[in-house]
Amino acid sequence: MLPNTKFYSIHIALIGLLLTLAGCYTKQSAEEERDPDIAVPPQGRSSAEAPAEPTELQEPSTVHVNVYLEISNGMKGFMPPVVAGKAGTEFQERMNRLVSEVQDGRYVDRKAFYLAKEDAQGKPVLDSVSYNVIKKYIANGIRDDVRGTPLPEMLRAALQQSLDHEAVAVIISDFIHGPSDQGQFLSLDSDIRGALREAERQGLVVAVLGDLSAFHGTYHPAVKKPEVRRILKGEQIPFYTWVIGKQPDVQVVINRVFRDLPQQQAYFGFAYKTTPFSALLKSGNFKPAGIVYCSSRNADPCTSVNLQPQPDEQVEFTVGIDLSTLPANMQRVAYLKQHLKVMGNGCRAAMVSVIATDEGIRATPDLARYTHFVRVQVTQLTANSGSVYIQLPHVYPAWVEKWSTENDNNPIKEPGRTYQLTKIMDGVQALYRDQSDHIFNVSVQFNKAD
Amino acid sequence: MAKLFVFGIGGTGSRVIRSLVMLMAAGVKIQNCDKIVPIIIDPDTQNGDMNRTVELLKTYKQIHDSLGRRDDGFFHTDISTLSSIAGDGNAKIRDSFVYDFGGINKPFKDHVGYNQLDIDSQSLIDLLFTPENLNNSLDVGFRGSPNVGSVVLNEIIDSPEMRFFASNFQAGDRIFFVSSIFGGTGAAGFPLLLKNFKDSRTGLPNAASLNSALTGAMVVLPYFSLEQPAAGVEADFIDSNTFTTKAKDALSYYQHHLNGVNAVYYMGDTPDKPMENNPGRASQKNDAHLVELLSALAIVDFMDYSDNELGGNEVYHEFGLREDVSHVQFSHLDTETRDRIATQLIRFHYFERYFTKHLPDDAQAAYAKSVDLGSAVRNDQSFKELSKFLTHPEFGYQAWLRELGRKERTFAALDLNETDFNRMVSDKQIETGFLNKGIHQGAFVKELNRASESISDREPFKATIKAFEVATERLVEEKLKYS
Amino acid sequence: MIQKFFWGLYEMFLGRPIPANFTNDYREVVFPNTGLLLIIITLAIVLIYYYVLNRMMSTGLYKTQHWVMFLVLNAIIAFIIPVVQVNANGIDTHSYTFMFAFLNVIYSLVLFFLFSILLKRGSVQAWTTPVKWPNKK
Repeated sequence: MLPNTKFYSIHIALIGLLLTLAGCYTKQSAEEERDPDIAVPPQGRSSAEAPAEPTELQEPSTVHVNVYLEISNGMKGFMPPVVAGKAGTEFQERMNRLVSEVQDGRYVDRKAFYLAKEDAQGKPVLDSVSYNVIKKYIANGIRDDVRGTPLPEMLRAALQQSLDHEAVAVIISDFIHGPSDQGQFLSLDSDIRGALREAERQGLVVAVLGDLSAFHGTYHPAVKKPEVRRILKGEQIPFYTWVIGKQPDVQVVINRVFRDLPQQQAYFGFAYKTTPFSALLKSGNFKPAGIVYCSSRNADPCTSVNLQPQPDEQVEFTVGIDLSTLPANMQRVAYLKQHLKVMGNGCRAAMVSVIATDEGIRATPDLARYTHFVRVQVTQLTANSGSVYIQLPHVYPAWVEKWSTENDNNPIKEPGRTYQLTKIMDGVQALYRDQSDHIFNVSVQFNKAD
Repeated sequence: MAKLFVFGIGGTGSRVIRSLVMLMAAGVKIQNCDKIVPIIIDPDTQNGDMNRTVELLKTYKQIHDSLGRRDDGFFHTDISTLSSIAGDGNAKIRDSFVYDFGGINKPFKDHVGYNQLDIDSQSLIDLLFTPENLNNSLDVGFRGSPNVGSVVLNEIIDSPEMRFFASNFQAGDRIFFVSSIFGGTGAAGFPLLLKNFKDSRTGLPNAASLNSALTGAMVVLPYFSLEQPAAGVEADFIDSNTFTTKAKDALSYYQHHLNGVNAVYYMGDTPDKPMENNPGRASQKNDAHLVELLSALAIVDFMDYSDNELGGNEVYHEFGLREDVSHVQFSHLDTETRDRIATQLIRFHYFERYFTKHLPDDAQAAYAKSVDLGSAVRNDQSFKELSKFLTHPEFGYQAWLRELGRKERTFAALDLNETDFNRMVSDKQIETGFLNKGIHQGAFVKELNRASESISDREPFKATIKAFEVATERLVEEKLKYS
Repeated sequence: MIQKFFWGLYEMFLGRPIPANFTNDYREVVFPNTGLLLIIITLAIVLIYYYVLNRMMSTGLYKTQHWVMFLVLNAIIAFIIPVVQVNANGIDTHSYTFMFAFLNVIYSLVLFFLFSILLKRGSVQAWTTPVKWPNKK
């Protein structure tokens, strides 16, 4: 009798224990989530960046695209008639792929193809043509005799038309400015700025992709001395694809429609105001160091942390960021390593490393949402609360300088240069100068740990 | 309130009182009085039976005094010495349960002044008394010679003790005599004392109260025999062959001359194997006998009657068993008798068994710990007295019960050698099973703890006795289910 | 409020949680849960000991050695709770976890004794276990 009762009592106690264990835990966590004390809302973000554009978040599944191909005489060399047994130029291949994607790709809804040229009065004319026609132009070359179009006018006209069509403007040109009036060279930057003013007003962004292609035929340099024209036989001449439109639409076009972008890219007006991020404090892949923990236990994502670096133990933790919507070259780790900045407000913070996601990381569901992981180090607090910023500033693309020249008269001697490309880019740059300084700016709030 | 004076005359008187004390210890209730005053009358001051009864009485009194006045329970009946009933503390007599004969250590011959008598008187004496009667020293008693006793005992009426008794006798008090009819002291003493108390011309104080006092008597008929000495051995001895003759003579005397007794109880048994023949002194220490226990019940029975019931004609009681068995159990007693003593004795027996066998292991039990029983048992005088009462080899409860089991007709209701509580009561054993372990140490502790919870008294002795009373009552009621 | 209390109770001796990144799991879940469970289970065992085993059932388990058995049982549970809690909340086990469990055992002993002193009064069989004090009766 005695041992029996003892035995039972232990069992009862254990059952009770299990029941309470289960019950208590769920109750507790449910409570936490509602606890206003604990759940610190991401304050800074909500106030400063509340009117975030919703369009930025989700890329549309399809876009409207207007393709403008300049067909002035200067472009003819890119599109020599294709001869059997001889490969086309890079230009032809790229353009062929481009128009094909626009025509048949799943990401393009309404599409239109235009040939940009100049009428007798020197005004830009945009001829709407069918897919087949433009394809024929690309493959067989330009027969018409068309004078070089003044750049700003062509941009303005194409932009205006795309705005009317609510389409993304894709403008392909050698961007060799051939103004009737040589004085226009002086004001090229402001003319470009003026031409694209409407784009900035409408909240559009500009992406410029620079590429090289063999050139067979008559080359018309902007600087007409000593030669007015030269016959080139396969020298590399730059050409550019400008994509102008709303940021998400442009993203679709460059990331999905074009794929396989050239190395030379420049982006203007791009800004990511709601970059998804989270301080990763409980991930097995990225163990933090020192005293740091998420301010709210169940916060997901965790945008606010409590931390306190000790003299002998600095705080390090990893922030996961989703940069998948950024242009591809900005997602490159090398690029980010070079340009990403970590700054502290109320603390001394520095970036330790940045890595891109990989198969191993993606296997963890919570981490699959992020494409990049920035390791942040906080060495000292100077205030009881503040923020740690992870920023990607707008960087003036270095290649522009290299591809630019003040004299494009002899491309044989100096291939792959475009006359006053810097000035053209400066014009675009100036247009967006007063917008945000950063492509994205992630701010992790912190409080001194108690 | 009323008192009961019990005169235990002779060795038999002492032995019956011994059993009475055991019944009182067990908590058997005495009605219609709140105090028993035993007065043992035995000139044989060395008598073993008497001395151990006296020790038992003293121990009982100590225990009772420690426990204080109570209406029921173990040791609840107040047993007092004669001197202590005065209340004023001025008694000029010895504080004892025994009548003091003041050292009559001379031969009967000298006592009556035989040599100073004239020749005619000497001849009369020679006619009435044998030479042995005359030459025997009186301090060994009267050796079964009532003729001697009646002379000597007559003198005690004028003693200070008797006068003290009489002057403290109050209306409503009762008197009970216990004596054997076949001995010396008893057979002579009882009619003599009775005659003096009931004599309207008696010289004792409070004569009226004494005359009208309700009086009972237990007359013990022969129930044992004594060994005859081997042929040719000249020895002092009591000839038990004369018991029957003497009993007959006395009975016929009682028939005509016993006035003023309200109830007379007779009890006897066929003698079985002879006892050692010890005519007196310390060696007269006979084993307790069932007859004595049953005789003690006469006192209980007598007190059960109300004054009115006893007021009528004399009544005579005889005792009988349901069956003539040699091992008497509770079931062999008449229902009335059984109801009176069985549960009480069982409870007391449980108490004794547990107290002596298991209590030392209970230091941690709540009932013990709450009063620090361990050290109390070691240091407290009351516990020492209790232990003496239960275990003393001469007069203790264990000895008494053991002795009761030795005779041919034994009191076998309670088995002293049985350690299992479930089998201690011969006629009612507790059925045990897998789930029901009956009465075992654990069950006992449980009841003791439960009982102790309701006891407010923190005095260790009182609390412990009370706990045992409550616990044994519950055990008997719920486990033994004795009825 | 309750959280703060338990958090203080444990960190008073343990210092801040290690690894630090689970600080609020400890503070908001593990400490309060463990503390509450400790109180509830200790109370339950004390009640079982004094009121079920030594009042309703009278099992004879009234001796100090039996009380110690239940004290130890409670201490074992008190050691298991924190470990289970830590694991159930996905917190990395650390020597801190075992210091925490050990501290909880200490608390369980104190609490068990405290509850015993407070509640033993109502027990029939064991109101003097483990000590008679402070009951007079």
